[in-house]
Amino acid sequence: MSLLNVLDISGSGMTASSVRLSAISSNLANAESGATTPEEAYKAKQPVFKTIYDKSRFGETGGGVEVSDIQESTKEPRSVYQPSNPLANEDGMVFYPSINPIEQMADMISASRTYSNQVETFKTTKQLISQTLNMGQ
Amino acid sequence: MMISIDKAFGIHEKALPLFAKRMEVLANNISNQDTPNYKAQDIDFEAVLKRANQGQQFKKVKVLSTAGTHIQPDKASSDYDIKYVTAATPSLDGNTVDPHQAKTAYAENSMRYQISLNFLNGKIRGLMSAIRGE
Repeated sequence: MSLLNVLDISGSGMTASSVRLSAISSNLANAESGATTPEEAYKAKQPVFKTIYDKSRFGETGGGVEVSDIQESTKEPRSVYQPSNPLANEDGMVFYPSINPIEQMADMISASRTYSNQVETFKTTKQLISQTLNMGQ
Repeated sequence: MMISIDKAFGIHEKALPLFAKRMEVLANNISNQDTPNYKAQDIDFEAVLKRANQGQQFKKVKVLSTAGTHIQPDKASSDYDIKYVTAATPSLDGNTVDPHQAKTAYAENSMRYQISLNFLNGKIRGLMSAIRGE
């Protein structure tokens, strides 16, 4: 039944959006995590979305979305002169990830909007399924 | 007088699975509104209805296979046309889903599904009272 597939499709969208939301919250939480070397500094994470194609179930149309990869930012970390910081290296520098909180917040709004769209889709479909089951009663 | 039960339901019986499939396509658009390079799809409902009214079936094309490894076209693609939606404002990442358009299309389609369901319910109720003779 196609309508049950719709539940799976919006479910996959919710999973993908929640992965995106958790990546964003991790980025925001670690925006001020210092490190002694540039390599050790936290790298901003970003999930990559991909459409699911399952010909046996959905035919030629897509069947939802999945996270195919989580990419780490290649931006150079910020170096800050903080000699009193216990994490400072011999030159007194501490390395912080270059995360733009405004960018992350905008991304978060987009992700949460997508999530609530999925929830609405799920609700509507659930209603339609129960109405279909009650047909003729 | 003969009552033909399979004819009583009319077009709604066939419309319901089509609406359900369209729900799938539109839900997929909503799910993929943030997927780079995703192209929004839709079922050309009017084309299907036109064909149904003219009593035509989607002709399944028999493809000549001259070798054992040739593949016949899929039967899943024979009932409706899946087309790509032209985006009013295509985004830089190549995604053509307009979230508002996708949501309204979904709402409209679920309305249509409900309408067909209501019609079927009415027909079933009518048949039931005819059978019971109340």
